[in-house]
Formats: sequence, structure tokens, C-alpha cells
Amino acid sequence: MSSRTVPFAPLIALLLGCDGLGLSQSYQIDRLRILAVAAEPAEPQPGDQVTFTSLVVSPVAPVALTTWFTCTDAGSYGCSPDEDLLASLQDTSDLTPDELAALYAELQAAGLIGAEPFLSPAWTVPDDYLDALTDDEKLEGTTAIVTLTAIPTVEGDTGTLDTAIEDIEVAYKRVPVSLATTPNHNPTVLGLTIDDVAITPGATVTLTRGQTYAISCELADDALEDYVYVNDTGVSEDRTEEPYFSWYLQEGSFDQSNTLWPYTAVDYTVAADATLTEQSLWVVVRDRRGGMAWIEQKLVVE
Amino acid sequence: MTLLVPSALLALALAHPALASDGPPTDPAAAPAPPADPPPLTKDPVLVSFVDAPYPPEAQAAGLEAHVLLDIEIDATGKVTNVTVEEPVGNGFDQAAIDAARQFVFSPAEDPSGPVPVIIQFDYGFVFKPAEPPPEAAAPVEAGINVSGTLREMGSRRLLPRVAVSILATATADDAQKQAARDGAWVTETDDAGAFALRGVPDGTWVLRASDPALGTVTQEITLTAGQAVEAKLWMRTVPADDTLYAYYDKDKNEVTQRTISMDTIKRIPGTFGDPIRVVQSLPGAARSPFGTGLLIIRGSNPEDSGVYVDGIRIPYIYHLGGFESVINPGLVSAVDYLPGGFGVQYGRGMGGVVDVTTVSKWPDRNKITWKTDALDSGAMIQGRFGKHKQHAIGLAGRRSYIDLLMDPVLKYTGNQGYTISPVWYDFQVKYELLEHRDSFSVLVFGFQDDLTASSPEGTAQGTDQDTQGSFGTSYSTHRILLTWVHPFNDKLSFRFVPTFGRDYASLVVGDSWRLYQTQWLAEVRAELPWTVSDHLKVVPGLDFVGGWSPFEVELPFDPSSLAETDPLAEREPFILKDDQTGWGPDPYLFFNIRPLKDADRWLITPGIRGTVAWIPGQLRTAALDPRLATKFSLTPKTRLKGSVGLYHQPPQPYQMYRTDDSFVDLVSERCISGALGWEQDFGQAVHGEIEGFYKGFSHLIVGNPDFQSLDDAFFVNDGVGRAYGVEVIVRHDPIGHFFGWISYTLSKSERRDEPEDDWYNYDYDQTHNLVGVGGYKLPWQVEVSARFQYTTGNPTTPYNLGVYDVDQDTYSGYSTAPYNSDRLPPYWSASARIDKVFTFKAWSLDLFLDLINVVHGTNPEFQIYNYDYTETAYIKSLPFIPSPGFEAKFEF
Repeated sequence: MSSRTVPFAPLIALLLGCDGLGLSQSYQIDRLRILAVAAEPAEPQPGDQVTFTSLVVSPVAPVALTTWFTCTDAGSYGCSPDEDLLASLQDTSDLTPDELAALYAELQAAGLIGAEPFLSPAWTVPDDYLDALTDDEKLEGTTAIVTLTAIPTVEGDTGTLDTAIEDIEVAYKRVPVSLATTPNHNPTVLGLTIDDVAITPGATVTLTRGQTYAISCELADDALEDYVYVNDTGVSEDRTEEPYFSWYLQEGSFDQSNTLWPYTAVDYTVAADATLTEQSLWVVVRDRRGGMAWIEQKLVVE
Repeated sequence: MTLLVPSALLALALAHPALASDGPPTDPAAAPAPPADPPPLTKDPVLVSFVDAPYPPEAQAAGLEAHVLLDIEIDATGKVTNVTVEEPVGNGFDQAAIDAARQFVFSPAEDPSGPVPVIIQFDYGFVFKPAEPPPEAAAPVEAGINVSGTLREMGSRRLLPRVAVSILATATADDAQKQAARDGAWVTETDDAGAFALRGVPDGTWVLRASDPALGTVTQEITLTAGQAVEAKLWMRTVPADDTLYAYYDKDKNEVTQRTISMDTIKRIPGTFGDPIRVVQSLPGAARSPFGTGLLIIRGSNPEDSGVYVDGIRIPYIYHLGGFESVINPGLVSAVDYLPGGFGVQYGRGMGGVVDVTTVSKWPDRNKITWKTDALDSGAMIQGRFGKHKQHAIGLAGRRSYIDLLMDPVLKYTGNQGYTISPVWYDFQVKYELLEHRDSFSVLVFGFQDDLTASSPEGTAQGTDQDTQGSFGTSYSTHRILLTWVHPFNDKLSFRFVPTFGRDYASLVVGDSWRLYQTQWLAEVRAELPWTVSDHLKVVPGLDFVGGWSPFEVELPFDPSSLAETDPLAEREPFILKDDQTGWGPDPYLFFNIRPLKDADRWLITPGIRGTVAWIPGQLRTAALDPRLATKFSLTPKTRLKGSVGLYHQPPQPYQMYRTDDSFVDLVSERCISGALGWEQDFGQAVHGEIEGFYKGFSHLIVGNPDFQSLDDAFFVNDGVGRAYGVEVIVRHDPIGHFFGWISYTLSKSERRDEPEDDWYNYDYDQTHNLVGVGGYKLPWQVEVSARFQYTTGNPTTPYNLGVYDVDQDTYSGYSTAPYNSDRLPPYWSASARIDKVFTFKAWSLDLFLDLINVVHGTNPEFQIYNYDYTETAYIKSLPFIPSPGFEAKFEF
């Protein structure tokens, strides 16, 4: 038996939230952020080439470099490329083309799959990637890890590996690799509605300061996929995806920053004292199986 | 002429023989029989032969009055063996009181083992009276009684004996009447029934006055006409006996570091809600707990390392929800023993400290009802005796919180409409005791339950995990029945038997997919056979047995064996587990009280040994022996040295012993070797000091298995080690006179290491400095003020540099380049105050109080939190200023 007491902090945190402590909210885009990463195909098979796209926003300073690495055995913070290897990238100006090619080969061996804007991220799943699994296990497969690091331009510099660790943004994503009979696909976002009025994709919407709008995200009919899952006892089960939505903005506030299917709408209040007349609003949809999609909506605040 | 005033009958407090520095060692109760050692008195000493002290001539000549506070030592036969003066008052009063008190005879005090010696405080009052009037001025012998009446105490309606009653002239009386009053010398005192009678008071308007130096004075105008007699009913407002502040430290228990505080002191300390256990945190060795929740973090140990006992039986939960109040109604608590370390073999299965709560065992002659309401809850208590000889005593108490009724408007006010938080708790205690019997027998039944539910409006996402949406609920409860039987074979040997049976329950429900239910049925027995072999040796063999059966049910949205919870892309398989656990452990112990010197009280050596056994059939079997030694030596009557060294084992917690495949768990008990050296010094009658240094070395600490990969691996391993060391200082002023208080300071360091190759890190609650000051002062008009101040080093914390984003889970993980707990929060400081005003009416009394918790305070961060991506940080601060009014009403009948 032990002496216990009920933690009091969660109650206080529930009452205060982060608002009460003056901390920024995750839905507020006021710094370099990686909001989403999509793999295509979302659930590849061995031998497939996978391309990646990301939603990286940086309202303060443009992103100078985004590196992409992949690995199969990640720690708590994604892939961890060899630090000595990374250090060798600091000054490549004196390298000969052969030396650069050798360095590139070395980086590829370490898992480098992209360095935007110079090299679009792409990864070919090795043919033997699932060889260690049984045939049944191959249906569920395993996951690869992709880690991307976005390095901003700091004080006019183009961004280097010397950039302070606090200024960079690091993210990692899992890529399921399997022989599933119903492989996952990224969902498709059709568009947004504001106060039940559909917004034409790409159009800019004008909103009024201090006003609250109901914004809803519309998904394609096939966004909620049915799939077969083989459970631990080997029995196949039919399941349907239950996605969720993450909402982001530059100024103003949401009544909640996440909505869970079937709730697809949030209340968005335009900041009464908005300083930006041109803003963006983003919605990221995750299908909980690794599939991801997003949409950006341009706003004009009057 | 000397008058014995009723205050003399008020023994302000009783010091049990084992608490006294010179309590005869032959007394069976003086020997340790913890955890209820010594057993509480079942019968107070009663003054059966009073001796009138001659009024000191010089005081008589000067018309002086006084009351002398005496310490009277009474042996087991009721004979007075020594008398000392607490605070000399001079003018011959002190010696006169001592000489008289030496001739007093009392009925013996008794505890369950029989008559025992005690020390009492006795207020000997001297009330000045004019010299006897000359015979010719005396009232005619044949005059009849024409003024009579009774004197009662307000609040209790108790008849007050031996109080001086006199007739005075009114303020507007003419000179003749004033002269008549002086000449008449109509003076008497109330008899044992509180009645008085005066003869020959002439017609007219007079002032009838009853006065006592300790109790107070009451006057009432009376008018006598045409020879008619007057019967008066006087009501005197006194200071209730249980309002007397009193605290004592045990000097002679076998525990070398035991700090005991009486309830009367406790309930005046600000910020504690009158809770006895929370006061422990104002004493040396106890770290400050976050939000004042009262976690017992003693001498660098984990909270679960310390044990809380009720009448010797350990209970699993100390506090109600939020940790503001403990689960035992303070009204039924008579004392709290706090043992921060070095305790004897009577306590086992713990490496931290011990808090032993003793329920009430001194029963009032009259029935009592108490009702108390404060900011958190309301409760009532009834105490009384019944039977032909009032040989049956019973106490009932119950409380219920009402925070749940206040939360809804608070949530609305804070903009959280639609959310609900409903914390509810209740507790009850029933105690029966058979008195006036050779054997001692009592039954204690108590229980408590706490429930907390929280929910959010429909459609409001709480994070992104669909399995944690909806409501949250937790509940825990404990119920116990405890029998205590003490049978004295003779004055040397007795048998104490305490069987207990109870049920604990805990549940946790999150959303629709997370459920945990656990019930624990427990049977515990403590048996002891204290044997006083001689004045210099006492032997106490004992046995603690605990056995239990615990069915439980776990429902999770994922199978933990797949470790799926770490991968948001992994499909979740609902996981349901229903199982039970049976375990038991007989812990025998044996200790000796050895007093090697001729003056037996000067040196006490307590060696002992305890076995600790934990056995879950087929799953875990561990046993250990704990040898311990404690000693205390009186260098001079005012100086004592003490020391202790011992081994302490703590079996794994139930959840650490469970394996889903019923395989054997390769764990042993956690171990701590503890040593302490101390020095106690008395500075006069009221002021005492103590300094003690300690060291604790922990080994075999149970930590998570760093190599855990699957259920084939052990969840936990015994790889952790730790160390804690420091110095504790306390200077205290006993509640003699108007003031009580203490200053407590602890300088300490506590560290841990989870793996042999790891670096040491600061323990989560390592607090280098902890300074606490507590004080109270009794003002006139039944007003009392008290205050508490605390300064503590901030708790360790780990700084993070940035967050790494998990794109699939939409969360950040903190990344730190600094070692764990390598930084510290800013220090904590706070001051609280309390004021009590007692109103005494004829039939009841009312204590109105205002507790000003944290009336001044620092920023006082409790936790450092980060924003979503660990780029910003803020503090969750401790409790703000909280005014907490309340009242306590008392009735006697």
C-alpha cells in the first residue's frame, strides 16, 4: 500500500488552459512551423518510390533549407544522422565535383532523401524492406521514419547548419510500408465553407474584424476509407477511418484548435485589433493511418 | 485565608508517563507498545485530597492575588512525588503552593494496562480576601440565608465548584451601604454542586460577585426587600479547557525523534484547515508539497515511502481530493505522532517517515456535540458516555464537502461554461470504548470516499485522441473496522491484540475506452506482548500480519503488449484484463528497552529486529531482516543526546509485482540504511531546542526497466540507488501562558541514480532550505491570533531547448541538452494568518475564525510548463491568497 494524493495541477490546468498562463497557442502561426507532411503513396509497398510534400509556414523569415532523412530505427526525436557527417556540410565551397559526389553518396547512405529547395524529397522503398516479416505480418507491415529539419534565414543569412537550435524546426513522420489489401490513401480536401457558404478554391475571402465565423472543412466522398485490419488473432476486421482536423491561423482565435470527425467546423473570431490585413488560415486533415492533406485559405481582414 | 479555586481542578493537560523525562520505568505503560505506544489514558487522575495553602503574609498585607502553575508528578498509586513551578510569581505564593501540592492525593491515572504515573499541570489560585471582620461586625449568627443560588459555566452549563462568591456595594451606593458591605464581609464559595448561600444580607440593592483568577468574574445586581430571600443564577464565561493550547514532545519514548502535537495546538495553525496531518509539514524533515497538498515527502524519500497510521493500522490514502484535508475528522483525533526517521521496529514496510494518528480515548463526562463548517466542507461530531456507570463511551463524526456545489458558477465565471468538475468527498468515524474495566476494549469503524468527475461540452475535442474524449472520472474509498483489546495479566505483562478488516477501492475512467477498477480486501492483525522484566529491561515481541485479495479490471483502447500506444499509426486493439492478486506477509518483530544506569531514566537503549515478508504465490517472494538501534542519553537534566541507525525494507508496490502471464517477478524489497545523531536542549521551562543530522542511503530502488521491449521483459528492475542527508533544527516555545510557536529549519540534499552508469540527479522534491515559523498568541476577550511563515528552495526542474514535432500525432516532444532536474524553480515563500474569536453563550459556544491563507506570498511557482513547441515557458503558481472563514459550534449536555 502506498500513500497517494490526487494531483491538483491537472484541475488547475484545465481551468486555466495555456491562455491563462500567457503562452502562445498551437493554432497561432507566428513562427516557423512544419504543419504537415504527406507521403505519396501514403502506404507504399517495397520497391515503390515515395515522394513527399510538406506544409511549412514561416511568417517571419523565409526557409533557407529543409533537409530530409529517413531511417527505420528512430529514437524519441526521429532519425539522428551522424553529427560528424552533418559537420562536414558546413563548408562545401572548396570541394571538387568528385568530392561533392562522394559526400552526397555518403549522405544518401546516411538516409538523406531530400534537401529543399535543391533536391525534392523522394525515397525508394527497398525491395527487401518487409523480408523479416511473415506473410501475415506483411499485411500490416512496418513503418519507416522520415525526419525533416527546416532552417530559416537568419538576419539576412541564407541559413546554415550553425543556426541556433532554438530557431530551427524539426519534425518526423512515420510512413507505413505494407502489402495491405486495402492500402491507405491521403484524404482529399474539397474546400472550406464560411457560414455555410462554399469558398471557391484559391479565392480570397474578406472578413470583418471582431466578427465570428463558422468555418467548415469539406472532404471528398472517398476521404473516409474503408479498410481491412488483421487483428492480433489473425481475424480480419472491416474498419472505417475517423479523421481529425487541426486548425491554424495568424491572428484571431478558434473556439478549439482540433475537431474530431464527425465535427468538421470551428468558430473563428477575427481579431478586433488585427495588424495584418492579409492573412492565411490552414486546415490539416489526418486520417490516423498516416494519410494527410491540407488546405490554405487566404483572407483579407477589414 | 486561602481559597481553592476551580481552576485548580483544571489539569491543563496530562503528560503521559512515557512522555515525562522521569516516568518510572517500572510502569508497563512507560514501555513502548507502538504504534499506540504509550496507550492513551483511559482515566485521568482525580484530586481526592486537597490541602489548603496558607496565604503568604506579605501578599496578604499587600492585598495581592496570584495563580501558580505547577507541574505535579503523580505516581501509579496517586501519590505526589514531585512538584515544580512552571513560572514563578513570587511574593511567597510559589513555595506556599508547592508545600500544599506535595500533600495532595489523587486517584491514579490509568491506561489500558492499569494505573500509570503521570505529570499534570495544576493551576493553584490564590484569591485575596480581606482579613476576617472583627467578631462584633460579623453577621448575626442567627441570621438566615437570604441570598443563594448557583454558578454555572457559560457554554457548557457546567456547575462550577469552589469559586468565591461575595456581596459588594453598587457603584451608586451611598457611603453607609459601602461601609456595610465592607463590614458585612458576605463571602463564601460554591460547593461541589456549584451552589452558594449567604446569610444576613440587609435589604437594598447589592452586587453579587463570583470571581476566580483563572476562570474570570461575573457580577449581578440583586435587590432584597422586606426580608425576602433572593435566589440568583450566575453564569460565568470561562476559557474552555479544550481551548488551552498545549503541545509536548516526548522525551522518553523509545523513538528518539518523535514529535507530537496536540489537537488544540493544531487547529489554530493558519492554512491547515485545522488538519492534524498537514501540520506535520511545518516540522523539520518534511519537504513542502506542491499546492499545499500535504504529500508526505520526508527526509528525501518518495511520498509512497512514508506511512500514515490510524491507531496503528496503515491506511492507503491520507487526503481527500485536492489534498486539503485528511480523511480522519480532526474532532476524533487526540494526537499525531510524527517520526521523520530512525523509528523502531514496530513500524515496517517503509523507508520514509511515519505519521501515526491516535483517535480520541479521553472521553468527556458530559455529552458533546460539535459542528464545524469551513470553506471546504461541513461536519458534525458527537461524543458521550452511557450506561449505569457511564462505562460505555462512543464518538461519531461525519463530514461532507460542498465544493461541487461551487464549481459550476466558478466555471461559468472563468468562461468554461459547459464544462463540469464535480469533486465530492465524505468521511465518517465511529468509535466505541468500554471503560471502567480491567481489560481495555474498543472498536473503531471509519471510512471515506472521494469522487471526481469532469466532462466537456459535446463536440469539444480534448486533444486528438478519440479514445480520451468525453468525461473523466476517478473514485477511491477506504473502509476499515478495527478492534483493540488489551489484557493485563499483571502489572508487568500485558497482551495487546488489534485485528482489522477493510476494503479499499479505486477507479479511473477516461472517455469510453480507458477503465481501471481495483478492489482490495485486507485483513491485518497486530499482536504484542509487552513484558517489563525489571526497572532496567523491557521486552516487546510482536507480530504484524497483513493479507489481502485484490480483484481488478483494466480496459484500454490498445494492447499494451504491442506497445501500440507509442505509434499513432498502429491499429488499436481493445484490451481487457480481469484478474486478481493474492498476497500476504507476516512481519515479526522484537525489541528491548534497556536502561543500563541506576538512574534508569538517564539512558535508554532500544535495539530491535524486524522481519519483512512479501509473498504473492507463484509470483513474488521476498524477505528481509531489519536490525535497528536507537538510544537517548540525558547528559544533564536539560541536555539529551540521541542517535539511531537501522535498516529499512519496503516491498514492491502491488502494481510492480504483477505479471500478465503469472510468471515470477524478479524483484526484491527496496532498501534504506538510515542513521541520525541529535542533541536536545531545554532553555528554561517553555523553550526547547533540537538539532539532528541524518543520512539515508537507498539501494535496490525499483525503476522502470530501460531494456523493456515486450512482455517477456521485466517491467521493473531493482537498479536504482539514492542518498539523502541533511540537518534539522527546531526551537519551540511550549504553549505556556499566552504564546506558543516554533521555528523549524531543514538543510538537506536528496539525489537519485536510476542506473549504475548514470549520473546522480536531484530528486524531484529536493529542497535545500526549508524554513517554517509558526506562532500563536491569546489575546483578551477570547480572541486568538496566529501566523505561519515558510521559505523553501524551489524544486528541481529540467529545462528544454526546443520541441520536435511528431507530424502524425500532432504533438511536440521536449528536447533538452541539460541533465534531468538540473535547474530549479524560484524559491517559495508565503505567510498566512488566522484569527479566532470565541463567543460563549449559556448553553453553547461559537468559535468564528478567519483563515487568511497566503495573505502575503511570492510568485511561488509549483511547476514549469512549456507552450506547445517548448519555445516559451511559464509557471503554474501555487495557491493565491485565500480567505477561508468558518465557524465551530459546541454544545454540551
